[in-house]
Amino acid sequence: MIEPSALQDYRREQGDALGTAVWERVPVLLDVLDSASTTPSREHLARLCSCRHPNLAPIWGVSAANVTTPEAIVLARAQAETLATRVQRKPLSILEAGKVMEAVASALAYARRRGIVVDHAGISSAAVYLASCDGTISSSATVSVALYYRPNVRVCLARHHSIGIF
Amino acid sequence: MYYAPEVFLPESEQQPAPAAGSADHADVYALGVLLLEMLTGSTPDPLTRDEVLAALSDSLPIDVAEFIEECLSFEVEDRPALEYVGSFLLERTAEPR
Repeated sequence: MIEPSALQDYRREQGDALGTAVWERVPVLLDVLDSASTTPSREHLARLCSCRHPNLAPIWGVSAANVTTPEAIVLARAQAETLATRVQRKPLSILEAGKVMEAVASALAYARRRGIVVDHAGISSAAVYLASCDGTISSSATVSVALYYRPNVRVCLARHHSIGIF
Repeated sequence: MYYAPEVFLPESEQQPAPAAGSADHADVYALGVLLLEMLTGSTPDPLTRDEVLAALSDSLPIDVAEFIEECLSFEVEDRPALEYVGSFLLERTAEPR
């Protein structure tokens, strides 16, 4: 668990943009849970945090005031542009799209096998980070999908309006 | 926009949830939207959906256009399996011409 005070440090570094954070040299995504919604179970959080997949952004921890009231989940963010940004510049070739589709489908299948519910609204181009910063998708490129927790006991692939772009 | 149409059906009309650990048809629909966006730069607008899909074969190879249509089918049984969605484009590209 990450101490709640650490969240304040994240926020100070990024100004007052609640829900966004940059941790020194390593960018992270920070999603703040809605306390008015259903409190997630520890079991579900543990399952989520144990996810390990080459195409899923790893989750670093959960911030909580105490063990029963998680406040936020922190996950690493690939230092690359999103698929949405890349597509706005120019649509992908079929080969490029194939590489992205293979990676996203693999991540999604993995999440399903682990019994994690995925909100389809979160499967968006804004949640897919291309490893190559120049927007090219080489044969060695890794596509990371941001997987984060939502308070209604569902897991979303991160959406651009609920995370920080930094 | 990435939700499959059946997600909005009343609960009584929805199909049973997929078995734990398995993908469901709505996953494939969402990936179909993502694929369409990657290849054309746009996502399906409910008002122009049919026209957009009908015009896909003008800008994409016919098999790719048909594949996207299958992913975005209103009939869940017509959608391909998730594993096939992940491999279709790369396998197609690898095939000798």
